[in-house]
Amino acid sequence: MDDGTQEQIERRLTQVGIPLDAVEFRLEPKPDLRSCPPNQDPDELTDCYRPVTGGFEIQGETAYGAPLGRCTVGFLAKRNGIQGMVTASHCTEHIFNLDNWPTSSEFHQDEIENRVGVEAVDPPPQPYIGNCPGSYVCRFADAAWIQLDSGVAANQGWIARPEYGSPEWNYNLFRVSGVIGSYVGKEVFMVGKKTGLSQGFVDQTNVDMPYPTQYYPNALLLDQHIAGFYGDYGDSGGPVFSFTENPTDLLNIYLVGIHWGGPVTPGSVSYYSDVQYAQFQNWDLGPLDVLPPPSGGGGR
Amino acid sequence: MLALVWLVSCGTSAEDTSPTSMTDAIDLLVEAPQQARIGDPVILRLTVESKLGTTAELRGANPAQRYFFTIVDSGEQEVWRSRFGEPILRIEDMWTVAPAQKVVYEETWNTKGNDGRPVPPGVYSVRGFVGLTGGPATSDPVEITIRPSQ
Repeated sequence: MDDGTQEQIERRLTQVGIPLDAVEFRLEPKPDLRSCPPNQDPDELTDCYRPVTGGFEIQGETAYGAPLGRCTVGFLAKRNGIQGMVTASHCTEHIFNLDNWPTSSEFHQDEIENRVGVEAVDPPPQPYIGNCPGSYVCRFADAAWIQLDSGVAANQGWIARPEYGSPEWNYNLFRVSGVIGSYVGKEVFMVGKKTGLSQGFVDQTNVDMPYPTQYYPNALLLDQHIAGFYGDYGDSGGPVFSFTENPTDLLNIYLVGIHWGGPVTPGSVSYYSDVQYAQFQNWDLGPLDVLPPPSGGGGR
Repeated sequence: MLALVWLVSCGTSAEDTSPTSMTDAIDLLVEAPQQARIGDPVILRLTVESKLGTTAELRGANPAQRYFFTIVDSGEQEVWRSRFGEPILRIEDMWTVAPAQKVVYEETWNTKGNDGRPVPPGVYSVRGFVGLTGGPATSDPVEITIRPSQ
């Protein structure tokens, strides 16, 4: 606050009849909302971690500060050159709806102070796209794009590699080498903030699923995939991926999907949206750059 | 005229066996009429209370999908589940049940199975569930006798 600002406030206080000696002016450092608390080394996916990395917990809140649920960061990406991340649409205040940008759903990690960004892309479902029946409106992905705040470091192209069945994390990472489709019998993996690393095989592909009516009436998710990996509450938005053809390569992965639900929870039958379909222009999020930057990234 | 006697069952069986299980923090009480005829709307009621003496802090399904009921036949085969076929979203919500608070959920069963056809007359067991992270809290069952329609 400079002297001019204090003068303006004093003038306004005088105008409304508040004596100046009743007010104390104090200069305090502006809290840094872009980073985690100092000296906090994360050992679980529920902790705050920078740069923001796929697989970590993310919590939403409305523009008015009411808490939304807890979910998982899918992956970091650039959209039209702007840095952001993908999570499930139902982790935002209004599913399949941009929540009054720029005062839309905010996302933070661990504590409310550690803000990451705000929802910026989540198009409404539309009729007559793909195989969408006439009485429905449809999307191809339960996905939303969260634009990161300026100064928030992003680990684009990298996903946390926790233990199997546990959110414990020892700074191990997977590197995104590309995006690939799903087929029945394909082995896929998921990282969720509750479950940690999970594995299963694709059981069905391209299933059109009615969305729960209490969230969005007459909405259909087109071409969803069903696989046998375990998921629990909090894993929504988590990245689904497969390894490369090289069986000894445990670093590089292909992004496959965005996890969002299942027939029961927790459970070993899980639903995910295809990352390829999530990039449909106009209908979903549009093209995303998901690869690591040329400089590599992946560090602390 | 069917007797309007409600069967009541109370308890929580912990499917999550962790020592700090949230299922240990709440009691689930399911109520259903003792008998009904095929075609009758059967009101099922689930009451959730804290059994800690303090506020129970819970994590799990968000409000729209927080509870469900199941009905199994005498062979323990599930014939009906509320929310059957509905995807369950895997967002995690936090909620509390205060010491004196009773959280009540109701659902109407139309005596049809998950396949949409009327269930055969017989004795069935009703359970109520609350979706929690790690595994649902489950009530003890109550029995309901389904008789032929008049």
